[in-house]
Amino acid sequence: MIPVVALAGAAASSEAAPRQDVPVDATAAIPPGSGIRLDAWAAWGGDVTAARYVLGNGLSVIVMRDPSAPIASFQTWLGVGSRQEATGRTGIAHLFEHLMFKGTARHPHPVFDTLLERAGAQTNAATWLDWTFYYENLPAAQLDLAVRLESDRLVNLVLTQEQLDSEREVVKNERLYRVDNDPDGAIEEALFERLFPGHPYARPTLGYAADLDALTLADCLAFYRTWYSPGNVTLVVAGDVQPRPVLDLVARYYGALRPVEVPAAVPPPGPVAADGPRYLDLPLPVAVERVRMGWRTVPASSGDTFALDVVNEVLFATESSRVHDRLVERLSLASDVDGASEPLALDGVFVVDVFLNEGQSSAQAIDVVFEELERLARRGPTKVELDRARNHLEAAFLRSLVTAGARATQLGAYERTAGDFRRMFGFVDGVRGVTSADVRRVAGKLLARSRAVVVTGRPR
Amino acid sequence: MDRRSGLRGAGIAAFLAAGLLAGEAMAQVVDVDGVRLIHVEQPGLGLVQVEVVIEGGSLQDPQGREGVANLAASMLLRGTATRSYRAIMGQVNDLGATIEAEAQKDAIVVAGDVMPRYLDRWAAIVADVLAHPSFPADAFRQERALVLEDIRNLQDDDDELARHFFARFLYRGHPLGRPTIGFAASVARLRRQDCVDYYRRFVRKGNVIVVVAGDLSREGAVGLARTLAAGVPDGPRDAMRLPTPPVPAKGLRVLIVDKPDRTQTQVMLGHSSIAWSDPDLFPLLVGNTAMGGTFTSRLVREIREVRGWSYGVSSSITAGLDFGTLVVAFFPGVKDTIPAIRLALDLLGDAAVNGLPEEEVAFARDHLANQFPFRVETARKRADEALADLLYERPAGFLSGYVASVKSQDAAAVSAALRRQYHPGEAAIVVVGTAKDLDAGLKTIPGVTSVEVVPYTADALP
Repeated sequence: MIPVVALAGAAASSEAAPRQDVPVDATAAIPPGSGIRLDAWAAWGGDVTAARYVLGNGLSVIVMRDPSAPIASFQTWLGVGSRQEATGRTGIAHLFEHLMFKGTARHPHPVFDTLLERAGAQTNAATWLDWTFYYENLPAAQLDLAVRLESDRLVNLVLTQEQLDSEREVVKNERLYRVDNDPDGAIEEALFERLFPGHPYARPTLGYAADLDALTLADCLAFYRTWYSPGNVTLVVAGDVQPRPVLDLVARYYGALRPVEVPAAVPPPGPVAADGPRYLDLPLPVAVERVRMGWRTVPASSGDTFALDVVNEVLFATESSRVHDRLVERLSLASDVDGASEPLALDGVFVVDVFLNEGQSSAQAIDVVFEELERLARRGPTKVELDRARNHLEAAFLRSLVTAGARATQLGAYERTAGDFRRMFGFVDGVRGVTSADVRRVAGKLLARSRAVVVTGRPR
Repeated sequence: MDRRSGLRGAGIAAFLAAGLLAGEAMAQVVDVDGVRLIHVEQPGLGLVQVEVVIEGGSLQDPQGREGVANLAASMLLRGTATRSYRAIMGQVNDLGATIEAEAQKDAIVVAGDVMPRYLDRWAAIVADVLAHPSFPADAFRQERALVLEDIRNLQDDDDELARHFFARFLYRGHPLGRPTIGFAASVARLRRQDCVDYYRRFVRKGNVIVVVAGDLSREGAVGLARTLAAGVPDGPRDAMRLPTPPVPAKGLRVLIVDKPDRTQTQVMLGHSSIAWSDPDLFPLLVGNTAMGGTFTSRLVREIREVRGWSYGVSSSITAGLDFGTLVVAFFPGVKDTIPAIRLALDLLGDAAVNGLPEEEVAFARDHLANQFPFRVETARKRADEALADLLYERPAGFLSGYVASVKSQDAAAVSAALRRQYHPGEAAIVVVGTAKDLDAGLKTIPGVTSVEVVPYTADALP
């Protein structure tokens, strides 16, 4: 059993004598003279420790050792996502993620892919509102290769018009797949546009087709120069690795990269006044109605994220949850119900999905969701429900960390959205600390009927 | 939004999840009170993962009763002699655990996971579900209605529609052509007694394999298997073989699954392929990986990288007990659909005739051999490998010899296997899209002998 109560600390330097509460191993891992400093750390169970180190050029690296399989995950998390895009330039962060595979002078396309695939690596990348990340899951003995290739393309990418034109078509095809021919994607895009009017989160990460068509090679290169630099990068290395060799590699390949200042974040506009639920009907190629309800909530750094997770458990997440039980089992209105709380860096969203049965109307189902949220805000969960939610969330947390790649992804996501990877280790304690009063408060304040956006996909 | 979710795995490798770390003992299969136990321990995981596999599955569904294995599996959770559905799910959820019951082609599976501190309580519930299902009449009607909704919801997902119709079209008239979930008409005909009969027919100790992975010792796993098997009726293992697939008519057969207003199509093309025991298994695995199993493989390079026609492209082979399936899949925009199909067929045909050069074979060989650690990364994957050995009667030493078998392939062996095993001129092609935009173009593809059109809402093929 993994002890889920974590120890955590911050700040030490390779040159200074370690403080009493700083793990000696983490400090000893720093190569002498590298200028790397230990910035933060967390212990998790016996010999599994994660630590964040920072280079002189601002690049940070989180290392988490787990020798359960001879595999390592090397991930590069950029502090840029679609929220940094300008109006009329939607989709550039995601398109650029694709273009990052197009090669450098030293490793022209497709050398990056062939070297890694030949070594047995699984590679991919993803872009979302707050971040872009690239990963290589590979045999641990091949870590050097991933570090060498990633550090090269971070600053030496070479792009041609032909590559942009071809990849633009791929991305437009991806948009057809995920949005234009996918009812759920179309509903999600509409929901975010209405939840976040005037806010950068309103822009679809995949971009609008017209904006994609308008992007130029100069736009892409400017985006690269602006956002792809050491100070905007967090590397995450998890798996069967030792911190010292990892830091040796990072110092060797990234240490000499020139720091570049990234633009300061522009404060986003706050929420619009809550003046009643807003409804949108979308005619879609669906057999039966489906509903997605959304609320703006709190950023990932907020302590209220734990209570929002508990709300989801009590009302939506399992077969025993109140709304699921009412809509699917007792009323036979829906074939499925689901919910999720997704904290983001600047804000958060809580969504509820209802898949109606044939011939059933969404209006009654929407009322049930509102009624149950309001009942929870008034009376709170029962002790049984609270205990169930805590157990369920603890188990879900463990499920999310089964592989080295999954652990690295969780660390990177916490670092980029909550601002600190150590929050991951506090998740179970955070959930255990949620009280009935917390649940009542967030249900009443954040998930009020007046703050909801409701998108209904109706058969054409 | 990721760069490349379209790849569905490197051929057989994706299906393999092969079985052991170098030098480490393979998962052992032991008999516990008449059921087979597969156990792989992973201390520190924090979870115990369990699958109770009951051989049978949807391939055994009688004609006209398609979907009965699926519905019978779901009904296991709908009530026991002493627990209602709400009690079962409530008690499981109280523990933070999971429990699911579903049919697959070869088995029905009751699976879940639980934190070790609650294992005994969870096991008691699952044992009750396995031994004393009551198939309540009200719950049966409700579950059947949910399955019918699931069938209807298939129509909203073009990707799912393509997979659904591809199997039906390729294996028309064969058990593999019957969807596990069933047809709307056949599910509507099912009665509670059909589920009871299915349970009596297949749920017996000889058909049961208990797979345990994670934070539990061998002694604990044996005790768990004993608990789970305690109330399962005694009985021997069934011998279940499939009829050979129908010999396809010569030429390319096309099915358009007609859905209005599509701006993109879902294409799947392929044919039946090899069994696990086939000597062509490893050379075909290597060759197919070079063709469509990586991001630098031929199909991906030509369709996606060079032309930008489809975000996802893959070629995969699912080996089976008696035979398997080769399928190439991609999803181009409407205007690129016909040229993309032509190109895919040309590339497969070229590989079948001319084989592959040593350079491409060496690349695929290294990729597969070096990827092996991912097949055994977790206890669950190692246990599932042992399960595949049992279900598919894979040759002895298959797992321990996997890397060596891959590494022993050269261009001559791979090219010969592709000549024997690639038959693009006899492929079945399913296209989910708008028929009026596709029909004429598909008929111009050389070798096409028939183009059928069915509405995407069609319950059965003509």
